[in-house]
Amino acid sequence: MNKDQEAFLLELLGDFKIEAVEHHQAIVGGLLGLEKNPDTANLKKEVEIIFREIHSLKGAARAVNQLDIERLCMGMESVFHEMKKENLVLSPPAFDVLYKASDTLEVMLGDIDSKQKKVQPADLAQLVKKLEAISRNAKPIAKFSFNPVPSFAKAASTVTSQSEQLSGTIESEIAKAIDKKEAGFEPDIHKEEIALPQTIIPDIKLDFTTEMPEEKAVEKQALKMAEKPAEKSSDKETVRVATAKLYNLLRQAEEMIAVKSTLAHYVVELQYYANQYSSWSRKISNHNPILSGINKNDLSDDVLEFLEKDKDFRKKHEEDLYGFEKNLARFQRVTARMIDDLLIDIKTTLLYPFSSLLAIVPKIVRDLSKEYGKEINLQIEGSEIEIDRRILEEIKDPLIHLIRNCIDHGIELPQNRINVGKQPHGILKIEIKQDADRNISLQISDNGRGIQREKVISSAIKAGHLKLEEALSMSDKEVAMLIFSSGVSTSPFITDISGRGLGMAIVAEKVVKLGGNINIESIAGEGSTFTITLPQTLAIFKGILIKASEQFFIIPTTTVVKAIRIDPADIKTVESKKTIIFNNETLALVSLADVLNLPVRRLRKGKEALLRVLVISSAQKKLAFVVDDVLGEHEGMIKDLGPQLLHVTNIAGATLLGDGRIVTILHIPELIDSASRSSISMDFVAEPLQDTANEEVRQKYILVAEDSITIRSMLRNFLETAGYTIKTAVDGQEAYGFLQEEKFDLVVSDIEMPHMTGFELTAKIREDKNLADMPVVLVTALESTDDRQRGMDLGANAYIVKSSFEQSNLVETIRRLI
Amino acid sequence: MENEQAILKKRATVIVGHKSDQQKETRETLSVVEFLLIPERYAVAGNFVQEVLPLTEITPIPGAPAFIIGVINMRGKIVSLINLKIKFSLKEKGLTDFNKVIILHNELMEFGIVADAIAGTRLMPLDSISPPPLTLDKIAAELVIGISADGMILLDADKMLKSSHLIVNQKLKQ
Repeated sequence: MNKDQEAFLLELLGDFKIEAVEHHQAIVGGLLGLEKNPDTANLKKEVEIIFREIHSLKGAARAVNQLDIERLCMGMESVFHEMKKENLVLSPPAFDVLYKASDTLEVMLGDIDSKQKKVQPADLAQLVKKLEAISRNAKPIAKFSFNPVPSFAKAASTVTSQSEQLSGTIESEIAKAIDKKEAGFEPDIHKEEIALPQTIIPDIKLDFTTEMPEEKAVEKQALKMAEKPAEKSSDKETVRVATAKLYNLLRQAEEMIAVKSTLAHYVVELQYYANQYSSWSRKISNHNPILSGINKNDLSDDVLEFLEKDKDFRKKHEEDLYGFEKNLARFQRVTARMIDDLLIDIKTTLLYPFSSLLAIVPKIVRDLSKEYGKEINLQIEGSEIEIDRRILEEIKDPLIHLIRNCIDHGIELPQNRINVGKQPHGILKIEIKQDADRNISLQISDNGRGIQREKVISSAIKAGHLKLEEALSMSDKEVAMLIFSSGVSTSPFITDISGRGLGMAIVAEKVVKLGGNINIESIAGEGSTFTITLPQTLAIFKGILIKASEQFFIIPTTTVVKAIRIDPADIKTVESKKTIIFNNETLALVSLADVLNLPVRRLRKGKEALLRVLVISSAQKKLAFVVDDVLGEHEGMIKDLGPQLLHVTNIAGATLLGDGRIVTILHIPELIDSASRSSISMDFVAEPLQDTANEEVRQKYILVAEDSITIRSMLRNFLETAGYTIKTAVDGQEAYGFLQEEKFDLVVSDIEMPHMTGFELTAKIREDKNLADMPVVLVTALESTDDRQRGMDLGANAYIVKSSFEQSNLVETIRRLI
Repeated sequence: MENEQAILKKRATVIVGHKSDQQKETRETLSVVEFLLIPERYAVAGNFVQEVLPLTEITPIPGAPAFIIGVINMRGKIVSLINLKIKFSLKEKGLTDFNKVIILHNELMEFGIVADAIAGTRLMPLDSISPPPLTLDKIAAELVIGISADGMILLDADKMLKSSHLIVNQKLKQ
């Protein structure tokens, strides 16, 4: 087999997998429909559907050489073949066999790609045998009651048996063909024919003809084929595209968000430069320092002409610059809108009806109710509503968990239900609704016993989430919400499906991760309702950009309840923990820098007295975080931290700002966990506030000149922790500039730096009248006596070589100097 | 000693991949990128080096182990950076001056190591490499191939990229 063929077969197999899953779902759906509603009108319809689905799947399996799947389909098909002929009514054990077959089919479809097949050939053979046994036991119920003439019936039944014989021969021929493992599509044609004899029977009966059925069959077949595309075309025209390709498109469109924010950043930059240029130009026009004190009449014509030209040039370029800025701003707006539209359109292609997810539900309910001996009437509404495929995939496990929960914990055993005056069968209802804002609510309700307050409370106390006295004042709703805390379960037994008390916590977290919310209503004795609200499409990531201890972080917007400012006087201490009152709720107050173990930055003298606080909530837990600054909302894509940093506690990922800077995104559930676990006393507020209150303790202000960013931030953190206020410069030149603008108490400088070295900086400082007394500490990578001597000669106060990375001698030196 | 040489040679050959026979006739060499991490000189095999970048903006990752300096933006991709001195528990002499990043990669892994300066690329004769000094700690010894005659430490980039010691995956504490 050459490569092209191989690739083609692989592609075919990919198509088959997609198609097969759809057929399988339809088969399961049909089986459940049959079992639930066995009246005749429905029976005929359902049998026809299932038969057709199995038949198509069989054909497709054959085409891609999946002989085992084909074999199983054939067994199933023969059962429905008999049912179509009304020779067979399925008994409950027969249903079980068919479900077993359908499950096996699912497993086989699942591991088409894997070499190790989960289904053993022997099991498969046995299953096929069972299926064959069902179809073999079918007795012709030759009633033909519509026919008034008995002899006709007799004749007809002869024909029937003939055609049966015929179909039998065809089938055995196919079996032979399969045994020979003939390649190609040829056997397919035969298989199509298996269905023929019985479709032809009514015709034979009515025409009373004796001709061989083949001819008619061919006509019929042609008709059938003609019908099929006609059926399809009545639907909207569709193209089958692999989801991977769609996701790829979506990802690329999402990357465009970065283009959007970068453009916005450039507009701001350009505005800044244009303003700079314009103000400088105006300054020159009004007071050109070169011309100050010179009479215009004294200037030569050449100079005057030059000045005029210069003015025109500046004016023209100023206009050009502003014009360009305007154009860029317009382009940025248009681009932003185009990108937004593109994203919305691509996202709509990812919408998918809930029915594709809910197709599995009846089967699960059936299996679980059998297992638990409960009788359950399942009702599903709104399955046609569409939602982002990715949400649909993610919500599958939470949905199944909630269903299991309702069946295991909610709905009572039939006898217990009768005892309390209820119908023996419980109702499990799944309802999907969409509101005007395109938000989608998924409601799972049962009419079982409801959530039992006492059990939840005692379990929550055991898990350490609650104290008894707190529990007494809680509303039923608050108690119900407790089941989302990990370790809380109302089930006394740990079964394989529930009782571990972890599931609900995971459900809540998953829903929150999708940007949704979960709620419970429960009335004791009457049942409970879980409501999950979800966005229709996965939103672009939005987060609040904040600053803590000189670092930027992003907190997902969905978790932020409110950004507030609080007066330190409003902070109360409850059991040695700081709290604030927010909307009549007492919330624990922690410093984000503390939770993240960042060096605590002391408040600068004269800083505003109000603290900036973000109220954060996740999975029913609320907490107030003190941050340095709240800088606004950012939208972008969540990126991971690369293959080396698989997971870092409290960090969910990172995103890029418009200027290319990376900002880490905080993992809120973990952060809340870390915050409640940390034993940090909340002194952070008290300590710096004392500093601000006590004006005598003026913090010393140190300028650090260092070209290496690592060392710069290391020095900064280190000196800040030691209680100094720091400003940093990237080289001597910048440091010298800062020294002209602000008053510092001391300078720490590296020696090797671009533009202006530490030696040069020291020399300049000593030359400057105003700075002559400024203490200068030189730090260096290399110990060198010459350098030390040179530093001292230039007037540096100290020369420090790092013999180890511990900076204590630096701080000591600084303390001695200031 | 001869045995050790053979082992080293073998290790190095694995790293370069199997050279063709005609190269075998001459003295076998390894193309390496040499860099400075004060006060030592190091080298890594060139075929694992994706590129060398100047180090500008680093975003620190709070809570990450000390040997992770932070992450950088490499043309829209986020790449983590390692401080080898901390990972190797090397004695630090002199303040380092991390100004360069060497991005190492294979099919599965990618990260950067920071360096004070890049000395350039050069061909290193395989037989000039002697075993690593015994003073190295366990993790360091695993990741060092050997030392050249002029005192350059040859790192095993392949092992570094595959080492589980360098992967950070902090599990949720229950």
